Amino acid sequence: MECGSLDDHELAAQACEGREAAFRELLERYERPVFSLVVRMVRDRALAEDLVQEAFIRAFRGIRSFDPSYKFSSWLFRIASNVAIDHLRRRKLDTVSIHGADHRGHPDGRERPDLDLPARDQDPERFTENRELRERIEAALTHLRPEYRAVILLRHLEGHSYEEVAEILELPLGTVKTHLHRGRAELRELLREFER
Amino acid sequence: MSEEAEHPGAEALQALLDGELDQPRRETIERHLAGCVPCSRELRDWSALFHALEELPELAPSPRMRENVLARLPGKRAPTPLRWLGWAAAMGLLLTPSLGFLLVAAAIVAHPLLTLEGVATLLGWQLADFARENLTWIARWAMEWGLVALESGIAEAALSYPGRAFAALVALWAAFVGSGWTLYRNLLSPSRTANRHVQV
Repeated sequence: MECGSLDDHELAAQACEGREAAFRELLERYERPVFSLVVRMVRDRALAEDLVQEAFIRAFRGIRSFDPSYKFSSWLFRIASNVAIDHLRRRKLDTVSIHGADHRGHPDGRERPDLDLPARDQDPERFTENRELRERIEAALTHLRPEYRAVILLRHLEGHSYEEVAEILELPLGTVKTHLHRGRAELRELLREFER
Repeated sequence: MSEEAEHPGAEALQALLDGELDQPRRETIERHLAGCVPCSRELRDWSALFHALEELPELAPSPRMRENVLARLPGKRAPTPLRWLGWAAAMGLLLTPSLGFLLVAAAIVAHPLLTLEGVATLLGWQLADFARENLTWIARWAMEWGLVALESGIAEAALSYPGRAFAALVALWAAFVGSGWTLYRNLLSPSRTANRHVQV
């Protein structure tokens, strides 16, 4: 049977039996989304490749522990985000745990006036085509603490629901909502700063 | 102040855009937005940010990454990197014949009937013969070195201690073949057993 026509659970079942074609199909489906998440988490392309490779190998070697009552993508993203966050913790690139701390304000505590995002008077499509803005968003994301970055990327890049994000990051639903809200607020502040 | 008249706040506006509000709450906020310019503007701001985030491009890893993962699938043998074993094998391959040559040369030089000049003359003959009679050079080479072995006492020693001579030959041969095999596994065929356990 052609693997491309199978859903994730069927592929996972075949992978459990050691079928290389199933592993290959799962890898092809998810290597880009997982890499997109991890590279934005660790901010280093070569390192991200190593971590994604590690995540896939962990997932494939532990494929028998995958519970089909969950989404395969959630399970895979959980492994990948754990690998990335473990790395960030080890490297001490960031100082706050993924389980979060109250950090509403900017470290320097300055008050900032409300600044308009460039989209205010633009059509959303034109706005999103703005390459400079995209680069600013990428830059701003790197300034967010990893727990905020993780929830925002999983929500917006991968389109996971709040519940799925909570499941992937093994966080309470309320914490995910808080991280999303605060992370976006910080992101908007950073974008405004970059514009000044 | 009624619920509808209250400004919903950033968190509620984000939840509205996320589609995570229940219907009554959503309808209340939408009614408020219809009559509140600042909140509508705030919603547009958030909406623009959401669009921009969702438009971030998907990034691709290098093809090498996929191959690395596939090479380490369950049941597959991990590729052996160029570690110390590989380099040791390379050194062994290089040194084994050199060591053998040095042993022979030492035996020749130590023999009272042979001199360095004599060995050089012999090598000169060999060179000349090789150029002249290319087709028979292997036989000639073997015969001449056989004579050297006889004259230098190596053959005599080997005949006196056949067990040791045989063991030395086997050891040299094993070292040479083992080094070559290890080098081949490390340099040329890192995942030769890759398909052994995996059905396709």
